[in-house]
Amino acid sequence: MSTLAITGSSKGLGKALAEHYLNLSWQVLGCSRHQADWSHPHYYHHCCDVQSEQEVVSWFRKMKHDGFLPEAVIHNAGQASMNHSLLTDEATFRRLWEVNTLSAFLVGREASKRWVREKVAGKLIFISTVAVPLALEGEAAYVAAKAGLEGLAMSWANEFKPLNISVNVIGPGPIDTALWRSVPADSKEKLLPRLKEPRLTTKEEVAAACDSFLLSETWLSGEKIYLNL
Amino acid sequence: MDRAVELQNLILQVLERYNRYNQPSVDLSAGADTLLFGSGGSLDSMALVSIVIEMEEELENAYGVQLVLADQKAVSRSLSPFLSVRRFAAYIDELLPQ
Repeated sequence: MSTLAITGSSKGLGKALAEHYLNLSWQVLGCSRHQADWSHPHYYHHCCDVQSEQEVVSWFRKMKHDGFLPEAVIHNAGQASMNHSLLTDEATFRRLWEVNTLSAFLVGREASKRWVREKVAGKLIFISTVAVPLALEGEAAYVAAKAGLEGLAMSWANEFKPLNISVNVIGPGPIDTALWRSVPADSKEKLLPRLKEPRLTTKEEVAAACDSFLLSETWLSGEKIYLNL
Repeated sequence: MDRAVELQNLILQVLERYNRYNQPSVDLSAGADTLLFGSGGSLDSMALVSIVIEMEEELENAYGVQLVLADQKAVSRSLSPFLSVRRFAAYIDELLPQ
């Protein structure tokens, strides 16, 4: 049975991706800050703040103790903030960097250590956003943090190549989640025409992009897929 | 036994195990003075990564702590805490709770 670890899986896109792989008969190790309000016989949830080095280390050690070896990790946990930069405080900028970028470093590092130790090939997927290539205004802290995440992924794709670890990025367009519903109507109207099709990205489309990395036997690394851009 | 010496022995055990599966092997005849990384050391950065990952696991088994053995000076040729077995052990000893 294939095993996936995924962050931010209690709700939204993370939950949808977890369910997608459960439906494909994978076992899924999920984490988020809070308990998940859903369950599945092959879903194992762990409460973990992915900005905390110690908590990420503990999650990966727990997997090992429990006899799980994920062959892929999707780092989906993240957070956005819509605000004019001149009204953004230091704490928000720092928080967005930690939750989107530092967390990816910690999760990817611990996963990769395990793969190196077990001498197995591993696959890392980072969930980014089309806000990066669109350089969206009004969410500079988020764009900066996700651009950092993409830089990390591209550097790791080179650094981890000798380790047989692939690192790829998927950047969906806006998805119908709590985050999108909180975006002001005029901002939504401005954003949609800049996409290839003026509509939301579906969770199924993100799952299909993940499949292209996780279900394929072909080695792909250092790739970025932007959806509906 | 002094904990630093205990740690040196643990590192030497990890290196012995490493030698069973890897070439070139590390000459351990100098014991705690065995050079690992940097000038005179025989590990390259990839080999060092493997040893460090193994040590993290050993430390959890031996002391029940989950340490991250990462250091800003890790790959410095003169300041690295991984220059020798003795230095590596002293570095871990500092990180372990008293």
